[in-house]
Amino acid sequence: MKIAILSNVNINSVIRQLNRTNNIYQADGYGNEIGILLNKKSNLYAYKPDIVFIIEDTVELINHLDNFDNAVKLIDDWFNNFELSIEGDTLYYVSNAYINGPEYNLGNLINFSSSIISYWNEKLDKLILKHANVRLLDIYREILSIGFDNSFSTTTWYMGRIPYSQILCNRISDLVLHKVCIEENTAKKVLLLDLDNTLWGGLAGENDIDPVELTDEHNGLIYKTLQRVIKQMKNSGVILGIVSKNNLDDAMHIINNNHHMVLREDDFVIKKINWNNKVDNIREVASELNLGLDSIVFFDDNDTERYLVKEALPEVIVPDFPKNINKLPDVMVDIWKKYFDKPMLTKEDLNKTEEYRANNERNELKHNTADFNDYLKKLDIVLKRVIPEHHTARIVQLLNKTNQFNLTTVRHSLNELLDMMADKNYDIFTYNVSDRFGDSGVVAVVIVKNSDHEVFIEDFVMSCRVMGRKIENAIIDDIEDYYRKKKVQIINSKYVKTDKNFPVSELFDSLNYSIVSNSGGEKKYKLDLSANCIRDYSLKKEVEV
Amino acid sequence: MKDKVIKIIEKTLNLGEGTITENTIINDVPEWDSLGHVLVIGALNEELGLDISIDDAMEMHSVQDILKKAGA
Repeated sequence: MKIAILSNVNINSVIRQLNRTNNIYQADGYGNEIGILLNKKSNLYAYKPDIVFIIEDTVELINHLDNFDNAVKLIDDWFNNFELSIEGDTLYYVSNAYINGPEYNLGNLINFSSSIISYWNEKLDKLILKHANVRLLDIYREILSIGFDNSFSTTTWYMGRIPYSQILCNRISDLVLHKVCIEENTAKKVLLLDLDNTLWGGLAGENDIDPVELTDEHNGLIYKTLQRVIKQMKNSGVILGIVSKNNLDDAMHIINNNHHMVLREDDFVIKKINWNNKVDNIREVASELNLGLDSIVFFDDNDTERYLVKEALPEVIVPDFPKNINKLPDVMVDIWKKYFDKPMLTKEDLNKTEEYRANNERNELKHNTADFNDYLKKLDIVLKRVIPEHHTARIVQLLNKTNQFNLTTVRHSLNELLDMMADKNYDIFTYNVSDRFGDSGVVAVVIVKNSDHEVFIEDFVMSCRVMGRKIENAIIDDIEDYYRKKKVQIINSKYVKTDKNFPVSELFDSLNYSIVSNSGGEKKYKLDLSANCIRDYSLKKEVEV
Repeated sequence: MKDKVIKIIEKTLNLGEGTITENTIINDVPEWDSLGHVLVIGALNEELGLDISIDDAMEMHSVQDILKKAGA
């Protein structure tokens, strides 16, 4: 990825450090970041960065003013200009506010300082909500973590307008590299946990009076703190599961009744608490959740178990367990940063546990219902065609992350999507699915290139969470109806083979489309819309207006 | 103290151990440009608690000059 770093202060030491390993754009001088961003002919645009990091020193930006209204005007100007410069294909990370300047330590400016910090951060939050490609660079957190006095250097500031100490420069370089890394990699989805000596100390069922170590002090507090970290991972979209060798009753007794447990039964989407080998259990987890082994992280204190899983399932990530359990909570935070942190969270990410647990309940209903169609009817599925403009971030995520149910696997950037939305020649169909167990959110997107008599389905992606419920049949039916009403005669479609999209290789065949050509892994189809097609599904269709 | 100063210079300029000696002339080290010099002086003040002024920093041409200032 190509990176640019712009600032209103001298951050050449950060750039020099990053330059040792990465290709980085360097502006001539500093302080003209807005000019560079607004001038589409500047060498920044010739460089074509994928990510632009913008680090703003708040006090320099407000020109050392001490009047709130005047300072706010400068901040407003900055944001207006920055917003004008935003390009859809580039990602922007913008730093949050901090106040560094000796005069702001005086009592009468303390309230002013906190008001300015809030004002900048609220403006930035709003901008991030509005633009899916603008993100937060949390420099303030780094300053807090190393301490204000260790973050700034008066020597380098007076000599060369470099405000940051070497320690903070190192932190900023690491932060930039971390953001590049999470933009490049796909986050893992599932954290599978052992129980004894992992989530609590000691062995479940070994001692009736004081069953396990889980308290508000000593080792018990370490395990409790670890659980607090894991709980927040779950709240940010990580799916939790248990893979543990215990008697089910002993383990569940602690999980449901120990009043120090932070994680409860509901927090876990899947539980493999038995005496089978963990490799088989993990394989079952992957197949039951319909996820690849490469989306799993397995955490266990037992060296042998970790070794066996690593050997048998090399796709599964197996982090080391710390020798000193004091480190457990921090090790888990590092695991989150390394494997689960995402550039942004969508509503669908936050509801993941609900979604996957609902899926397991659906599976139970399926086991208890003999006839598949009967089962589908009992689900009360509602397929709702929604307005794509309201879901751009989720659509980009679906188009770029879906591998299995993806007919052509063409990836689209946000900018390309926005172009297609504005283009009359494209129709974008976006679908939300819900049923009696919950709302799955936006799960399918179809992009159609249209003309008067003939249309082409260019992309069709659907989240694997809702596969196997004949929802695709209803979606195609909805699209066919839409064009039938517009007097379109022919609908064309295709399937382009990849390593992962085998599940949909026969989709259009099963929908009675006729094959026009089939070569080089690409099958082209068409369907005459005047023929009456009966599509097999059991759900209710709605259209958002 | 001498060793500490040299170590900090090497670390700040990202140079291998032994690159800088007490006889090094600043102009002979390509990495020790004006930005490098600011960072070196900053690091010496930060890490060794030295009190090198800007005027003094501007007049330094060699490691010897720095060591003299550091009292090493």
